[in-house]
Amino acid sequence: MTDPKKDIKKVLSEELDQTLFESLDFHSRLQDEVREKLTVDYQKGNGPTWLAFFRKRRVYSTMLVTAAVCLVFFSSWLLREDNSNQAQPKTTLDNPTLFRSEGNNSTDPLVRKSWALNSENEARQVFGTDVLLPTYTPDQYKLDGIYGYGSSKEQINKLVFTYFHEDQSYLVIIERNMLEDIPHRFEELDINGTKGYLIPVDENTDTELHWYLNDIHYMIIGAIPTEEAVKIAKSFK
Amino acid sequence: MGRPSHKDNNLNFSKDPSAAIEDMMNQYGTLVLRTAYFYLGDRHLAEDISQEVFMLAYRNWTKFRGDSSVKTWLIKITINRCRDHLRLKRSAEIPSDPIFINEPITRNLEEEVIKRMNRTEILKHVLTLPLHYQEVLYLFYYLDFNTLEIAKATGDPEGTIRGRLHRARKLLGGLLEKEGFQ
Repeated sequence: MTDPKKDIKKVLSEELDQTLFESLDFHSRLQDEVREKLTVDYQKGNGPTWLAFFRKRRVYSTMLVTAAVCLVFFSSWLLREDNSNQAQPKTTLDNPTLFRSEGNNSTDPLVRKSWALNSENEARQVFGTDVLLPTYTPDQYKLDGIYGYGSSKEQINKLVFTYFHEDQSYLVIIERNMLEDIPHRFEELDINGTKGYLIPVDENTDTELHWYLNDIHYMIIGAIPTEEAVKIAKSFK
Repeated sequence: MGRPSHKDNNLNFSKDPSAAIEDMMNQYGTLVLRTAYFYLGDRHLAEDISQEVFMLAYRNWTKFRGDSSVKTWLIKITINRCRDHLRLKRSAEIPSDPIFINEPITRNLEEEVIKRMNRTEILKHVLTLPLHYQEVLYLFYYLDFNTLEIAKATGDPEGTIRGRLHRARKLLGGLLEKEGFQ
């Protein structure tokens, strides 16, 4: 007699492979793009082992041989870049792909574009100096990126800060001109004199905290303990 | 292409991120991509997310302590990235009502895929369940994770996962029974 659990596994796996996942493979183009992005990442100063990366890919010696040729091309490329590198939306390699889908249709004025911002100062500059920003980051978490959303870089009305600790993450989302919307179920708490809404999330892995101040909606959401989220919220200055 | 190998052995992965990332992409790239697609239901987005996962894995490889298998670690990163994306999407759809948190995923499927899916015996029922049941069934049956591995990948306590898996299988069993699945 067959084991019904095994049958379910076998049938479900086959059905997933043949319907949802048909021809969905991490093929060489996707792999090449990852390598390319890692190289760009290094060139931006984020890649600790770029040389090792190339060495392992067995192109190190080829690099040495072609270095002279590359230098010539690189110099001419630099000259061209100097002329064309005006303030404009960054390339897709500069913008994290996670957020690219929000702004990939440049012909639709209603679709918001996204920009990677370099610092909290720049975020304040493009969003408005009245915005409050977090000054506390939980131990081990690091700010991974700041992204601005709007119809143009001059009209950014949403900021997203992403924080990482290894594979854990949380987001701080700040959006202008949001009407105060009271969630259906919440626990009320005080954030420096402002009413905050802590939303009970299904399991105990996530925290979701909202508050509104001067027509700006502030939100902390992610895999951090509630206690830490409240500390972050109270640190906004 | 058939399903990628499910074998995993931390010892097979070099400590050098540059070498390890190549092995990770070869061995688990497709699983990561399919998992992202399972959560997000958007092929292009799933490709983007899966590439992000490997970039994160590359950057964090030296910090990986081997507390779980590489496969579990990669799937955990994938799930977190997908959840980040869903949170971001949800934040754009204020009012945020917790009732909607566990809504079934809306997938942008082509008509042909929908037709094929309607002919499936089990999958069509799985996809009608709330997200956390879909998730646990996918991780258990398709990725071959045990409850401890699912707990590590999702960040939920193992007891919660056991209960959830039990309820998911019971619900699925009820649906299948109605259709006479043996």
